[in-house]
Amino acid sequence: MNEPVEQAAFLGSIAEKLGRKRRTAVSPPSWDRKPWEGSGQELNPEAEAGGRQAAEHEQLIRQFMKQLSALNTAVYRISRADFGRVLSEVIAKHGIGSAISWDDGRLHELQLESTLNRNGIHHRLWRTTENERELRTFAESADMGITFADMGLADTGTVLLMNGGGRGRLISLLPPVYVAVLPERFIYPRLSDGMSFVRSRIPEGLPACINFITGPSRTGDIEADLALGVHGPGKVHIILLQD
Amino acid sequence: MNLQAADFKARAKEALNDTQLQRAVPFVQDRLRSGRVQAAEALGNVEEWRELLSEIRMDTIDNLDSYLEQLAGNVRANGGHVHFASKAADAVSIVSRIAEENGARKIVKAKSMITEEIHLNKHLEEQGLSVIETDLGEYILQLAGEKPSHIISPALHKRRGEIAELFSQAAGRKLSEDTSELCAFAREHLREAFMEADIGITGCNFAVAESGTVVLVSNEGNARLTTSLPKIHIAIMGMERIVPTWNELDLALTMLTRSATGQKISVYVTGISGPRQAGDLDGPEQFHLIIVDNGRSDILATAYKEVLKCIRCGACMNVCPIYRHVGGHAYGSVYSGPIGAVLDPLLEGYETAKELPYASSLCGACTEVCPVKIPLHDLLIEHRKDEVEQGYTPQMEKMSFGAFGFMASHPAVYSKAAKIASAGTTLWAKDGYISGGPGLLAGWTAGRDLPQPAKQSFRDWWKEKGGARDE
Repeated sequence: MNEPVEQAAFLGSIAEKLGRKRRTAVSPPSWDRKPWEGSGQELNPEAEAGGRQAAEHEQLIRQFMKQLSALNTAVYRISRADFGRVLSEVIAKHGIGSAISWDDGRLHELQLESTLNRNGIHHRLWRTTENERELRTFAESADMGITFADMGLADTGTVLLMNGGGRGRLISLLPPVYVAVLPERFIYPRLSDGMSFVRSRIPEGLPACINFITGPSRTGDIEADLALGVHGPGKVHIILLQD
Repeated sequence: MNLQAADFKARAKEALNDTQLQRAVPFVQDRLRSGRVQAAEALGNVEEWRELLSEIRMDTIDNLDSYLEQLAGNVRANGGHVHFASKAADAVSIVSRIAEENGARKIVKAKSMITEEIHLNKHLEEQGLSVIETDLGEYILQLAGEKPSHIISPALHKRRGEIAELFSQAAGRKLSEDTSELCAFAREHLREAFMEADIGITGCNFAVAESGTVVLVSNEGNARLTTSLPKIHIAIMGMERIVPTWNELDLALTMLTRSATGQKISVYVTGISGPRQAGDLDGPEQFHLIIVDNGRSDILATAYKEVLKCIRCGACMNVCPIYRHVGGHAYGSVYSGPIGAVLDPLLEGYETAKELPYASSLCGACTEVCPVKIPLHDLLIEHRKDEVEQGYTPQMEKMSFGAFGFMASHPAVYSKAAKIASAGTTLWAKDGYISGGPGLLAGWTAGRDLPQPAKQSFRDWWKEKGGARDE
């Protein structure tokens, strides 16, 4: 492809100021040092964590939970069979009347919709066949948003969401209460594991929006006084599935 | 506040007399600073992290043309538009043109220092567009008609009483000073603006070259709303805000949030790779990335090149004794604190920013905390040297530098001068301090008091004590 004129001028000027010819297709050095510890395992959150020691992984789960509890986030560690009961508790706790969720097979498997129905919740799925404006308006007024998560990071207490299609980015953003469901075997040590996971998806094309979410929306802009829920959800619940 | 005025001393004096500011700045500065200290301790080996990130940033700057080319190619492959802006005015007119071509009227913005640098809001408002700042701190400042005074915590100089007043006016009803009530009002009010906006404008914390991704770091979620609801997203980045791959992003993020607020990570880290894709029901239909030079490439060829490693964490402001006393506005430029004192003269020229390199005690605290190891206080000295050479320094200061240089390199002269100094200054000294005086003394004391030189010099005292020297 011919390089656009403006781009050629812009980049040419950089090369000139650096006192050399234009460079192209430079790869960064492979930094041999890793200031963190305990990373570098094969990354495939979809697979069983068979290669890892159970005790080591138990540590990670505890670290993940501890980190989030320090960030005003409730974490429930439950079996799949208890999903309906725990979600009903969250619904009761916040007096939820309406909800919107990802249209995601991993949530359907948990009989999410029947739990919502049983609790009399007015709810909709982020179905890509629906009218955009209508769904968005519903999401804006919904009390609760529910998504699955693709990965958990123990060091920071982060969940990673690969959005796109039925996995709308607004679900984890607009409603004041947010629930993320994460199989505990998807928990990895730290941010670098999340980065490797994202990198592994580049060949097939990244979704337009990826989110790393760590606790509730917060601000310290008024006298450094912590306040939750200023733009995004002020209440966040993580449901960890023990399977 | 007059951004054009090049009179640091007058603005500093004003700040020193501002009782609100004198309480607010140290309070927030202490919180941010102790957050960073704890985060650094928790990392354990923070020096290793700094060293590695510094090397990564330097590699990026040294190969900037290549990484930018890769970034541009990947943004286009993702379906986005890429624009290159050599000057601030170019960036502004690109935004204007996008707004015009799309018949846009309402714009929401997430916090971005580069848009402050190019004075974007002013120009867009002149064009008749409504521009709303959505970061809580920026929203406070927009209501107050002020500029940010800190990179990370833009309204840190504001006390809650003032904020409650501003919000009450905007709400048309009396709001209490309670943080959660004020935040609830902002959430509701700004949510409407998000739902109605035609264009969302953000900065760019880091762009990832290998995937054409713009990464935004936020705690409030306003950057997510800005990039999710409007039909058009425009991201504006300084050309050095780039990392080669997600691996380098890992280190940069790890250090950014820890250095800024002490958080291990911000609440949201959002990677935007182009506009919405087929089958998406949310996200913008158009994505534009504007890459801005605005004087940065000129820095590449100078002794100040390392300043381009900056990741805008604000840690240097949070430890600076000068910033603590005068706040961000006294710097009179877009960037404040030690990084501003280095960067502003480069972006704006000595004509308007010549005083800023002197707004430092050269204590070096900034250099010590910088997560990318920019030698900030060395660069301030470099500026002072350049100013002297280019004739921007008052004649007296130049003579002082010259005279001191001569004395310091001629021990005998220095020794004599030290004796004379004590005797000769008795006339102007009071309680051991000199706050006025003629000639060279005036050049010094116009800005600060000088302790009266001791009657006996250190060298004489040492000799008298029979100074145990090995040689």
